[in-house]
Amino acid sequence: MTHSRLKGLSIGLPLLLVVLAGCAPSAVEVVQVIEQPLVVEEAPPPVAEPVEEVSFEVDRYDVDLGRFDGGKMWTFDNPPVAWFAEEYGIDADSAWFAKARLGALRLSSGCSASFVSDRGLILTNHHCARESIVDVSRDGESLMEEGFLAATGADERKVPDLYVEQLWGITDVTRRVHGASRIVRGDTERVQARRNKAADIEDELGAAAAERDSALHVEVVELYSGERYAAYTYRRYEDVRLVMAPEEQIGYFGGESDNFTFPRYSLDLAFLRAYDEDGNPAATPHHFAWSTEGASVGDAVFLVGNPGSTSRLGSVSQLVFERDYVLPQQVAALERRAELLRPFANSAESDTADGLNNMWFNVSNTLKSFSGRLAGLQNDTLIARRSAAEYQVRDDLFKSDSLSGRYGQLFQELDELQLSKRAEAGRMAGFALFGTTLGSRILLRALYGYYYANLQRRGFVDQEIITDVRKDALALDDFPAEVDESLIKLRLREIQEALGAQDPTMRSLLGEITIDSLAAGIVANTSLADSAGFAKLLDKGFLGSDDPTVRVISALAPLYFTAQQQVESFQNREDLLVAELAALRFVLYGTDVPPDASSTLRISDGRVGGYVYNGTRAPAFTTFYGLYDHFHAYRDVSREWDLPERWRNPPEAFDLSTPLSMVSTNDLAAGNSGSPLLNQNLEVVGLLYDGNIESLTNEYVFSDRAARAISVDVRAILESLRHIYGADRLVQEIISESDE
Amino acid sequence: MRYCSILCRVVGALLFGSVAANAFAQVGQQSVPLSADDNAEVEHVWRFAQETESRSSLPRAVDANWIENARLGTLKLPGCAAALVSADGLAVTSATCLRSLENWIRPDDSVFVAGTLLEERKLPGLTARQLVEIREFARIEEASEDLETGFEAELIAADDSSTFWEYVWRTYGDVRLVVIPPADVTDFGNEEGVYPRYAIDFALFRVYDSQAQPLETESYFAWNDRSPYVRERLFATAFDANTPFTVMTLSDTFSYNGTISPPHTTLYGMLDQYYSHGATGAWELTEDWLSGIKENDLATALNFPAVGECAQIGAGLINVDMEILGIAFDDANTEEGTHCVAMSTSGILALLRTVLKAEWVADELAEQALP
Repeated sequence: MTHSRLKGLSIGLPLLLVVLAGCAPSAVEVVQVIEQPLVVEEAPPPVAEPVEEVSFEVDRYDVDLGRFDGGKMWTFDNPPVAWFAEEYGIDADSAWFAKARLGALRLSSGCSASFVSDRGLILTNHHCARESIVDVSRDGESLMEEGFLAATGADERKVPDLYVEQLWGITDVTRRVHGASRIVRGDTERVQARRNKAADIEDELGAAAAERDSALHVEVVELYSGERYAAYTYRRYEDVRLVMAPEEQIGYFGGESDNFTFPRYSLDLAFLRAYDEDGNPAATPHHFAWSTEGASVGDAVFLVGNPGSTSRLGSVSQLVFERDYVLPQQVAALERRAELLRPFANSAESDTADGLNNMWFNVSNTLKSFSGRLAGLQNDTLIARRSAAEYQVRDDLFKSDSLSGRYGQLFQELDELQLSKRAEAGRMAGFALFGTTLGSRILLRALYGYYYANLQRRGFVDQEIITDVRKDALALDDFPAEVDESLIKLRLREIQEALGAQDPTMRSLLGEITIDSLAAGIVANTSLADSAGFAKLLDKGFLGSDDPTVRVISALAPLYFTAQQQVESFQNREDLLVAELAALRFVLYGTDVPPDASSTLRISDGRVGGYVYNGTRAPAFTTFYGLYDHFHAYRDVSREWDLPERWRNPPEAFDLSTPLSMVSTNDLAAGNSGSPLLNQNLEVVGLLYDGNIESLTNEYVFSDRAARAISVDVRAILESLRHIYGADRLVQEIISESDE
Repeated sequence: MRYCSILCRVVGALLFGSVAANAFAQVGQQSVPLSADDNAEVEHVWRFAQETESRSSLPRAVDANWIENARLGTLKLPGCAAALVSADGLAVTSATCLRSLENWIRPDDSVFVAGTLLEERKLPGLTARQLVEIREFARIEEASEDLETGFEAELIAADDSSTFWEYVWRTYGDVRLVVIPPADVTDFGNEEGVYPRYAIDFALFRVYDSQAQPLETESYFAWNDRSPYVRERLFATAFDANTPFTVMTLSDTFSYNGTISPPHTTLYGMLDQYYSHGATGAWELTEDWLSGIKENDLATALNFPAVGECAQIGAGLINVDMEILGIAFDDANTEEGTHCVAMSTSGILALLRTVLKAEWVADELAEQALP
């Protein structure tokens, strides 16, 4: 899973923000954040486009519905006891599930993790600990490059602001929440009433818990889009220290190229430790023992972590819109940027290299992820499966008069909403990725400047927001002028093409000159090429300045924000409809189907096993032999498969045939990174770090045909700690309770 | 005129019992001009891996002389090609090309390594052919009527019968097996059409002359003991319906499985496959081979891909300096079209010296002649 982060850009800006979430198997979460709608007075009225009459009705395919099309991210609220017994023959009682729950952790950075000793030792991914590793580096150190191993407990380094949470208890509060909304009329109002009530309960239970133990925190979780509510009590460990991290070259072996792929050879791990209030290693009786034997092909394995969300439960018409508009636009925009950036990647001057390389990585990795999804949606079987499932829901729905009365119009409303979105999609095409860090720095600064000026003009906006916008805007890295100029040209062409040659905005913007000369003029005369110049301009008043970007952004930003507002309103409506759909599913099928992932603790079952790939079979495991195969084979291609010095000549005792990565059929989503993979005795056999390329389409329908979860094998971790890192202290701690 | 296989009409492989002794004195004089930048008549001996490649991009070294040497260094086997690799008639091909000839095998025997020259085992019924001359003439009556024993001729006509070509083949009926690795390593993984690949797919044989002596030849490819550079220009000469052609290709990576393919695989990778698949089934190795492979520098290259279809299974992949770097053994279907998978010469040399215990063959390859 990718980890590259785009810093900043995280507050209430109504932009399409690209946030590379640390633990997302999807490279990018496109997050729409809006605090308050921005009033844009000068916006031209949206041009009405003829709406093509399209029916989203799909043929009834003859498809066998999978029992687990909706996935296997089971909650601990309703653990799948019967299914585990049926499929794996294990008697997973409440003690078993409690043990699985209490050994698992959620990192405040969004990843998953687990306790692996009774002294607070935590296992997670290197890519989940990147920020921590950087944060504890001292002057002159580069722990990302060199790796870190605390020789003694005293050498373990506290990570500022990082905490971990353990799911201490679950209380069903559905009745209380629903009670509050029983007499409320209107869908929107009812949703709001429930959320208000949930917040009240959260405060109330949170205060009570804190009274008992200040480390306890309560979060009320909405499941099945509000059909179920549960109060999750977490025990929080606020003092977390870095114990061990390998070098980035081995932790992220294969780099962006190998991200989302298997066979794989990364040692994507890090060890942290939770400390108690007295500064001693936390006593953690609830933890997972280390399996020194590891897992074998066919073994039942259980993934316990905090997956984010999926798109498995919407309507088919939503998928069709995503397939025909959203993804093709994004993919096309990404491809154009990848092509533009390719010649500059790895060859930029040093002071701009990082920013450019980051962008190149982000563009190519997001492209990989989105292309994978698009290819999945373009494959008829995926839509066919979802269509069959939808027909099933419709059939079941119309068997009941009361349900058909309440939900009868639901699918049609969702279908119609997609038609409205289509009408807007053409105009928005030119703005794909606009307002993200995947584009011209000059234009992005101008957009910030425009937004900042508007916030200030409105007066009533929270000063903190203004400060944050300013901070984020100034944190942007710089690009070489020629790259920025190419990116500006590309953007202007895209907008021109989407709006049409006769569009008044572009015509008046260009006047008698060409896009090329407009872009060249901007780059030659702007003060926005670097943050220092931008800061001065912000203080002076950006919109009142004579910077050449002012005219451009004053023409483009209103178009963008207006369209964005429209998208927002569609989105709000769609969220409501999808919530109703989830409610309907719950009424029909109850807890037999797990609710969509919600960044809360889930347990997902599967088996260790290879799969058919590339005309042959991918094995269930890789070994260190493969690591060295890649190191030697790719030497003349890229540095992504380079090895740190200490890995180049491993000692005699180091067994190259040790399993390194392993794949299993467990369901996963963004946020699962760092999850422990457990055998049926709840011993840790693997450390999840990614999904393979085939798993990208599990975003829409869960499949275990070729989609796999990828974990670091625990045997590789021990072998490396022993023979490469000489981390005897850590090894002793890990295996003291294991079967060795 | 394009490839013969498309536009020419094969009027029949006319076999002549004998030929004037001086026929071969004329090799290279009356032959079809084979210069790359020559006129259309040469096209039927050229085929390019990539249509976008223009002839002007051919390296200067690849001239008429180069092409003729490449043709003379290439042998035609039934359905296969092979490459001469020593001045004493040693040739290399894909194991597939000899595996099918059952009669060299003794019971329970899928591997053969000759300990000395004398132990080389005759391959009855196998004839290797070398295209020694291509003659062009306007009237069919001009064709040779007699060929010496050990030669065959075949006559090919243009569609409109305005031009005729006579291909003169030298035939070698005494061909002896030198080395063929066991089937479980030549077919390692039992994979077809796949790259990345980890197979030890090659076989060595020797061509003997009519006096039962190792054939002395000046036309052979020097063994280069390295893996190809990334995007190195390589050439393969083979026969398409008996017509020789040379394919220009590139060793290269391609989009694969969400990442990029390795430019070559190594012995490390083969052992990774062995252990990854649990040392079972198609990925099993005998104890001898497992320990024998481990005696090598495991970074030694094993297989590599080149753009486009293989010219022919068993064809040598040659660089501009007339050195052989690989032996084509399978067409792989990839996300970027067909790629030819080749066995690396460096892998062959290393394995001959270790697990195959054929030091003397390795020495011959290195010295390009029998000691």
